[in-house]
Amino acid sequence: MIKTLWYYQKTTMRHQYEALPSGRKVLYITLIALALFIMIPFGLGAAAAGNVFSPESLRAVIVYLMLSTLAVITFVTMPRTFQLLFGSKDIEFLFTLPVPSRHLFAMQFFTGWAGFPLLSFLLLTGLSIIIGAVSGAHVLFYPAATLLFFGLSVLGAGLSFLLNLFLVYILPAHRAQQLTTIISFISAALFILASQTPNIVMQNDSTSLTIEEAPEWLPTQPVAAALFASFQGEGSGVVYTAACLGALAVASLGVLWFAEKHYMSSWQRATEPVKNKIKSTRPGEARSVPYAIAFKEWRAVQRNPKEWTTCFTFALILILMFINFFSSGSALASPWANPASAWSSVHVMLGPAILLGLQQFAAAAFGREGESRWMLRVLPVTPRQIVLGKFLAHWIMTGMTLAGLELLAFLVFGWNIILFFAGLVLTLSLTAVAAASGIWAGASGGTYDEKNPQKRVRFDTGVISFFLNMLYLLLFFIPAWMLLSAGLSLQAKWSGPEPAFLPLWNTAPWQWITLLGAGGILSASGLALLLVYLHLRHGTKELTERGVDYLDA
Amino acid sequence: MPDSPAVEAKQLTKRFKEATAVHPLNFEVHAHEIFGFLGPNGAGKTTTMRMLAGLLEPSGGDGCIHGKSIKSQPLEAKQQLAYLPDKPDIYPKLTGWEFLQFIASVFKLDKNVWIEHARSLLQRFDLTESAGRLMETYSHGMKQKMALTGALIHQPSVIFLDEPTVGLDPKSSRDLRTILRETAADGTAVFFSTHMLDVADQLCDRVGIIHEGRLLQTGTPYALKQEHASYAEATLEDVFLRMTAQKVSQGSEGEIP
Repeated sequence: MIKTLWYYQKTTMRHQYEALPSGRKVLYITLIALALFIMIPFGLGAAAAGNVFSPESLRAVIVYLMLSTLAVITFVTMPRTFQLLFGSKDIEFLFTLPVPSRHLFAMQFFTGWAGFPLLSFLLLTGLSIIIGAVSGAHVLFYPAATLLFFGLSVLGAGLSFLLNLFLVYILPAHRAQQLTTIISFISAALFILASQTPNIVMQNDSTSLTIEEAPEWLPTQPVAAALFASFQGEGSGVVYTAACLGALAVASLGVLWFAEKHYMSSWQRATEPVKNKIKSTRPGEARSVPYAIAFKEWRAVQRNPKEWTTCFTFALILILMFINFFSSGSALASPWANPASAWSSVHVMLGPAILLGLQQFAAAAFGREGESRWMLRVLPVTPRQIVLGKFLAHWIMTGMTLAGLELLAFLVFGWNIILFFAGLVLTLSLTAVAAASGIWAGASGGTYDEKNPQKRVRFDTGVISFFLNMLYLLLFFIPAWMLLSAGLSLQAKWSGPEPAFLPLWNTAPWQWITLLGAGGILSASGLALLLVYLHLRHGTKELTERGVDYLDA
Repeated sequence: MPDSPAVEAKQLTKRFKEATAVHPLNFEVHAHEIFGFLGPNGAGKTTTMRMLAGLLEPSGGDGCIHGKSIKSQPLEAKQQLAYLPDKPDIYPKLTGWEFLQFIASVFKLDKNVWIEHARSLLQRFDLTESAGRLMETYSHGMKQKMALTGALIHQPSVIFLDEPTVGLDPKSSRDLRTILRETAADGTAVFFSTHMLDVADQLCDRVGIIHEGRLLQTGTPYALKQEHASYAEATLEDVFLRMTAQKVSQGSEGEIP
């Protein structure tokens, strides 16, 4: 049975590859070549860095790195494995056939492993070969590293499947369909933490590059021991490697046993219809068309947590900057001690997060129409009304949320009212630009994958949009500088000079500072208005030029 | 309404790369008329309807709704029409009432008028209780009926329905036929495609038979039977099968007359 399933899966995967546009194939091949090219200097650098550490510290680094790698493989693979286990269209059909669920699970497991875990395995093996060759490793090191990294990738994939089954098993059925969202955010948070592990570890003693020994109970200790011993050509390397692989086999059998017992029941729970708690029986007045479209968008986002995953980049940038601000001894590490500088730190973090992270949220608006897109095409609505409605919805959603955050920060950090107002203008201007550029990207390169909010814009359009927003970030530097200077100068005028990274104008007359602040507000809103207008006009043009097929990208 | 036909196809054509899905079509449908569009799978029925409803760009020719070209005056044409696809995917995250309010907003309907009209339609389709629920929880038939309610609340002068009876229970199917008759009596032109030839036979004032993208003939069911059937009890199905040159399995009922 496995053979039949595997043949079917292999054929499907081949057809999927064949159906890819040739441009996409070229892109994938280029990316692989680029990764291979980068791997050589990266491996050489890692080999050179290894000489700086003492053997104990190096072992601790390897233990932590292996642990991070295992966590990254597990959590990054989780959303995809969730889709494979419960979301793929063919599973429902296959469950009606006399196929043991163990076999179905094995097929899905292999498909899941053949993604990110396989890529991780290839990259780690390639890197270890380069490092081994440069550092003069014993010949035993190469097969040991290959087998261990293979094992790590299989274990990571296995854990991601197991966690999905377990979560679906313990959570109420009506929550099951929303799990992918939670899983995506857990993955993102862990991915960030894992990528920050070396930083956090190094901060213990950054002068001597000495790292405390990793705790013995960590599951990656035997893996590090096996790599170390085989590197030096010790016989214990073989024993450690065999023991690790044995443990892996036991873990895999455990996963398969659990899967056989619970796959079918978990699938049934995960695919149960969602209970409906929403009731609305009070119809009201007809709204204006853009407002009606905006309201529809708001409902689609509000009632589907999956849509929030498009704000992932925003959260990622914000978390990364937050960690770095805290660890760099900046004003944000003690915001109450220096509220004015904390205000600057908050807005320096928010700027890139909004412009580079929030446009994807608005860009998903066109793809969200999905199978319902015939509605907008058959109704007497103009492309301009569609673009305006979608823009308003996304600007109001992001603008109001961030205005709420501004208010919270104002109350918590004790900023003065002028600083609060200046921050509000800046945030609302930036969210408007992010929403408008996102709407333009969705209108010109939208793909109608309503189930996956992450795949709602073509790759090329996404890249152009990202670079455009980088440019806007630079353009907004001038009004932001004016606002920051005016705000900090005013603060200094009231409460005495405080340390700040900008030259202060606290000795200048009030009128000058006010003029500077007003100039900042006017230029921020003026720039925002111009960019919003250009994006919306171009988005409307894109839809109009494509005529009635405008929603078929 | 002006004297122009409610629906007019003028050399309406659709080509997809090499293949021609719809060869130049010419026909008219008038107000108060129920027009059945019949044809085997892949004959070009849906493509023709999608072009006339403004969902698909014609490769040649034009379609007009009360004299308004769907190509050059799409908004004016769409103001007068409603379309119900065979697979009514409607906003899953809206409740039935929210969806109807959206349609009312697009057509700028008076609050009291649209609510009253919607309530009466929802009652006829047994949707009163479920109209407050999210549409993602609806069955196929319920979605079909909600989409139809949305299509009817703005009282269009032309309504296109693609296989409207598929997925409906017998009562809803009968209610739909009654509503279509009433709608046509009020002056609306009803244009629908179906595979259920007995329904077309009973309901339609005129039918058009399309095969491989070519309109073979239009006429009343009675006239078509008179012209093509060789015995008195022949049904529209017999005529249809004869005209589309399909083979019928052996048996007394299936013999080609």
